[in-house]
Amino acid sequence: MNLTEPNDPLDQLLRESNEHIDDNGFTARIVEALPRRRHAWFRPFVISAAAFCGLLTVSFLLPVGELLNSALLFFSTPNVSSFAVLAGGLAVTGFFFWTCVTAFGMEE
Amino acid sequence: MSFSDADLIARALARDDENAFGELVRRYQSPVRGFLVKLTRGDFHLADDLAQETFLRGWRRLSTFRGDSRFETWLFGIAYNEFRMNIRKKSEVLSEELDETLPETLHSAAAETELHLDLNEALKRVTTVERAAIVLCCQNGLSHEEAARVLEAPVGTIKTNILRGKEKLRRLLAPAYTNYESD
Repeated sequence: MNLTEPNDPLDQLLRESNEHIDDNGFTARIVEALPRRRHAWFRPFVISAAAFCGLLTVSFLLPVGELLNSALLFFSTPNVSSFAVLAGGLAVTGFFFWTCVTAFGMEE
Repeated sequence: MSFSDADLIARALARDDENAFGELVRRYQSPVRGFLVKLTRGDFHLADDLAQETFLRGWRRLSTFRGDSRFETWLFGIAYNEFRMNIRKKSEVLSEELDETLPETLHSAAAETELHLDLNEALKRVTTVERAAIVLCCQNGLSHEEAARVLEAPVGTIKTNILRGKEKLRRLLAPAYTNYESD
């Protein structure tokens, strides 16, 4: 419900002063300027692909075998260094999944 | 044959139909441009630039329109955001602050000189949020809830802004307003 009153002269004045603006080629200019719309999957796909490439690069640079050994070692004999390596690996993997989820959840 | 907004949106989305979107632009160019002209205090050139950005953004984001509000309301929301971004770009925060003091100053000046202000001039002298709320609800017929969605503010704030803005308009229009009432 609105606070406008049918008998209030100010409301009446406001309604009456809302003039129509002629198009004068405005619509044609807009239609001409419309960009080709990218498909909805385009952006999430690009971001996910970039994140995946990043993950591959990181896994190539990091000693993945050592990471797995550290993970196994951590569960058998927990220590600080194996925990650090394990945490780093988990962070990278988590970042990848978080990027993918964010990319697919983006509206624009 | 006249298509509904929903039909046109569906066509624009499914087939990238620029003509369907063009029909939507034709329908809503007047209220959107009028809203922006008032927000920019009568700067038609800037208002048209912002309106153009509004519709282009609307086209790009059309798939995010979920139909839980009227299409017009959705466009007003984009238009208001474009306006705010423009202000932010120009760093006109200072002029927004001046807005708050201007009406009182003008009111006293008007009283002293019996300055006659027409409605459009008077609208320029209320604050941006008051002007936006008044234009949306009193001129374009949006409900308070719709205006709250457009302006991203609580419904209570919208009501307060309308009441406060209209009170200022009454004072600014006092001489003309009296004549209008007696007509």
